Amino acid sequence: MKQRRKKAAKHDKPSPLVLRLYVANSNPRSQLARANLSTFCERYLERGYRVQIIDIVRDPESAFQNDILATPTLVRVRPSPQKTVIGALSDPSAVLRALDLPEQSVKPPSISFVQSAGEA
Amino acid sequence: MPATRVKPTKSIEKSPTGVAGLDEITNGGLPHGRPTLVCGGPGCGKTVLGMEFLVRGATQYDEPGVFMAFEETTRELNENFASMNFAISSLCAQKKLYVEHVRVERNEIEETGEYDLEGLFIRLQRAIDQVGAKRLVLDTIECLFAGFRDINLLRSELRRLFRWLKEKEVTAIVTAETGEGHLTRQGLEEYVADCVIFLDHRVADQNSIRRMRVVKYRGSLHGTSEYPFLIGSEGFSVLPLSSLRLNHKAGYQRISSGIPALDSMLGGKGFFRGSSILVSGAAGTGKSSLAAHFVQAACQRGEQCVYFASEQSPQEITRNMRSIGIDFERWVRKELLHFHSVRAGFCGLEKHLVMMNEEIRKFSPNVVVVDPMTNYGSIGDADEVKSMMTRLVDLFKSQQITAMFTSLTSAGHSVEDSIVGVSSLIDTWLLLRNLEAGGERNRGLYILKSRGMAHSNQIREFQLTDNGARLVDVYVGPEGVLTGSARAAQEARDRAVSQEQKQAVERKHVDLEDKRRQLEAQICEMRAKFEAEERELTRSMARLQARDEQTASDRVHMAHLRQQAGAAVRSNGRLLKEAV
Repeated sequence: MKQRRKKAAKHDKPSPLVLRLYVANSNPRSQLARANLSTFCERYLERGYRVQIIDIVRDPESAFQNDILATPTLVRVRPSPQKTVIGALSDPSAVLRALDLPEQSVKPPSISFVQSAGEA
Repeated sequence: MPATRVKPTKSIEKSPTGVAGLDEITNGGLPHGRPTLVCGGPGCGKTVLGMEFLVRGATQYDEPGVFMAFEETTRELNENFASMNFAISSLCAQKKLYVEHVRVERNEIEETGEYDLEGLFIRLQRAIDQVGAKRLVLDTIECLFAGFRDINLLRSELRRLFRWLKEKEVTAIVTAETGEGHLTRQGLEEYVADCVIFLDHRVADQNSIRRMRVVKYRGSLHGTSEYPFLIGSEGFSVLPLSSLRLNHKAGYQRISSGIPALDSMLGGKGFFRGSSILVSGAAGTGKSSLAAHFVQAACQRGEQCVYFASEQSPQEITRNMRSIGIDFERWVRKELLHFHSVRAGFCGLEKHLVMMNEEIRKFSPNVVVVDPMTNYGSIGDADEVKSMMTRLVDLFKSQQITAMFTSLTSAGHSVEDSIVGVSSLIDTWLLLRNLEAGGERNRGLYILKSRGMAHSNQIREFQLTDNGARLVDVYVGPEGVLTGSARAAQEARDRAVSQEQKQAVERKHVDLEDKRRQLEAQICEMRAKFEAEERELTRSMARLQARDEQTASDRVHMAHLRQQAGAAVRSNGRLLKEAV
């Protein structure tokens, strides 16, 4: 999934929107967040964004450098200012608000969001 | 059949904090490998305690530490601790200490859906791995409550954190702010159940008072009182009541009071070493002078001595004592005598106590003088003063320091009133009293009590001369107790009377001698007379005998002649005899 996204980002035109998701490897909430983020991106974002997923279990240094306490944490790295949202990203409109993205770009829902880790 | 053996119960392992006094009240330190909660209001010293715990651990016990700061940044911490002798940056450079700031900002973070604090755990693990930490401080973890909205989640994560800390076996200090009706605002005491220390900082009568209390220490004996502490350049200094039990050593060694006559009043040997001596009296009765003698005697024995003065500067004391022939300067130069002059009102009782404790730590004296202790009475209520004095007396006793306290009794009060409640702590109590009579004032000294030794019940006159203090027996006569010039006058009168009596006796003696001589003269005379008479008699008798012999020889001659004459002579023989 990570590889696919990175590849996709590489081939697209450069875009100002860069998202970074910090997860803790095996954590169910983190997996849920990945799934939710993927759905969110497909539904709400125009092409040309970039998503990085960082596993802080494997890379503790980045947790320190970026002041990460909670997992999962989604950070809008660009455009600045930096915006942060924590949680399993189960409410897309909250994520939009948190990332300061316009609501009008919302496409009609095609996939329902998973609400909790148990259902994932 | 094997005998049943009771296994000795292993008491819980402790990590010494190295913080002065704290290890004593916790009976050895904080629970090893477990978290300890340190709570208190803002500015009570939580951060300092945490940092000192790490610094001492790194420097004294070879246990590297991690400081996770939720409030202050690393730079701020460095700046804040710059005034203290904690070499934080150099310890960091030596990989003995690792300081990390954890930024928690509520405003920047949105929440949507479930999350956990895995990030914090990973960072803690990373920090511990950086230096191989055995100690950890989380200051103040309650900041998390400001950063996250989901309280229930936070609570379960904290519970998990404390479990995790125990698994990691790091000795941790978790700090928290005091809350209304609770020890901590967020009830952290529920999670950290092993050891809870409460710090208090209050201001009473414009004096700042810092207190520490071990609220809870599971599985360990600990002091339960509030202990005063101070934050100085060396960090924390907790003043314990020195021991939970009364178990001072009691030696039989005696030391001189510096005044031989006083020693002889005290069973001939002076005070017990390690005892507490109270010298009380009104102004000008010579309390300080008595103390000065005590100090001098100690210095002459080559002992260390600390003089706590709250009324006079060292220079004043030195000058004043020179007038009674005591040279303090010499002992100060020899580094046997140390002055600690601080006005009583300069700081609160606790600070005084802690400062005194520091002095004692520094010099480990054999003898101390607190002159006067009554001044401290003005900076606290009676209970506080008593508690301080108890601690002070206890502190000295626990270290076998012989302490002399002087106490000023105010006019109109009974001398025995001096410094309420402390008298019972004192082993030897000397009273100095003004004795006013005959238009002059003299000083009297007596021993009110002296535990464990025979002591004089006599009042002595206490004189201050150019060559030091002197004790003189007072005059006790039909006119009562006389001192000073009255005593001198009475003694002179007594001397005159006895002189007269002596002369009278001498006169009588001479008279008698005269009489004896007269008598002997008379006897001589009579003997001479008698001897003369005796001689006369002897002479008469000799004459008589001579005559008798003559007569006899005459008669023989006559007879011879008559025989020659014939018959006529024979017939007339009888007639001739009768005629003779």
